[in-house]
Amino acid sequence: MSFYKQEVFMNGKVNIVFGLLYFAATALLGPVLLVPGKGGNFQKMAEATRAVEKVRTESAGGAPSMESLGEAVTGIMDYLKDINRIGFVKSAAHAHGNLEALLNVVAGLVILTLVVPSSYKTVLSLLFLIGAVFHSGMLYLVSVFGIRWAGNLTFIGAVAIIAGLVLLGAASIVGIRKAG
Amino acid sequence: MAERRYILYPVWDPLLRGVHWWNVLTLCGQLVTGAFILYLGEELDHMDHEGLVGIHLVFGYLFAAGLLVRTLWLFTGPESARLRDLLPVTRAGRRVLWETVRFYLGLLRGTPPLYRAHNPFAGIVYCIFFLVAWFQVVTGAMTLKLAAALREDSALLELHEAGFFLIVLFIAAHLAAVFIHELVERRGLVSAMVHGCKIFTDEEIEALEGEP
Repeated sequence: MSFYKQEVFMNGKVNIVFGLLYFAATALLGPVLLVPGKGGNFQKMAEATRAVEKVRTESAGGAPSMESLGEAVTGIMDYLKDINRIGFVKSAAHAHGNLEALLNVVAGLVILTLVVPSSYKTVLSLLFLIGAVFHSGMLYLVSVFGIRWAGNLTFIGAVAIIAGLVLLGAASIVGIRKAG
Repeated sequence: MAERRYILYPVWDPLLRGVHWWNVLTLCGQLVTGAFILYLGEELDHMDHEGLVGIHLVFGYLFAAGLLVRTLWLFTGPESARLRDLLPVTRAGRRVLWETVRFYLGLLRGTPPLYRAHNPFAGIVYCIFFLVAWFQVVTGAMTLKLAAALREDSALLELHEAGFFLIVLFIAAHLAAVFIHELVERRGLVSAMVHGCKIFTDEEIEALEGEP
């Protein structure tokens, strides 16, 4: 008897299609959402620099005023917060999005070539899709759309990608065979 | 009397077996580190405590990876690995469920119920285990997102600790059930989870293959 039904549900093709479309989406989101965000940072940096310069000028003629010191500290803190909010988090989503899109394309190509039962291909395919959607997808929801609770789900994506990589490696040992 | 023939009958696929033992190992790591944190947590200094939490977290991720694969395999795997095989959704499954209940209530007297892969009674317990295990993964991940000072008094941590005891209870019940069924059925349940085949007589295989 055979364990497996020979049905083709997800054989890697869906990962290639998803990966390419997802890559297009992350590439679009880069200039549209990330670069203006960086522009915001430059404005904050200029404000902080002006406030620090004012403190420096006042220091040359004696003690700087508390008001100028407060402005400088607030300016620096706003700039740092902005880097953290826009620069770091959005670039993390962007970088992971690109990486996981490409990973789906590559994984899809490998899954297509494997000589293993179709149920293995289905589970591998699902793991990489879940990995991208729940990891970089949730990072995008948090950083770009401000949906904070989505951040709690990113670990599912990370776990799915690790499981997918380990299983794809194991499946490649037995599933990649010479033609003929 | 005709000689009875025993046949090694393939039941468990390689992925299911691999994930089963992966989950056993990672769950052991989780239970040991979890028990240390639970019972010795207050006696350990801060660095040791955080180090143990870190190891517990790594085992947690590894266990979650196995659990995710097994959960997907419930819907995509071969028939013997599917949710349909675990839960008594067919008439034959419900019959075996009641036969199993009667067998337990009759203190293991009479003929043990005949089934190919999962016993439907055990299957229900496994499904509850999967739910509790997911609950543990989610509460564990959410607890670690809290600041260390807030963790100790958090309701999440209390729920996570309650889940720990449920899992210990499940492991004890699972081991006891495997021992009892191995004793009365003699199908080689433990080795079946290694090489994938249970032992049946040819009449039993005929009866199993005749089922819808």
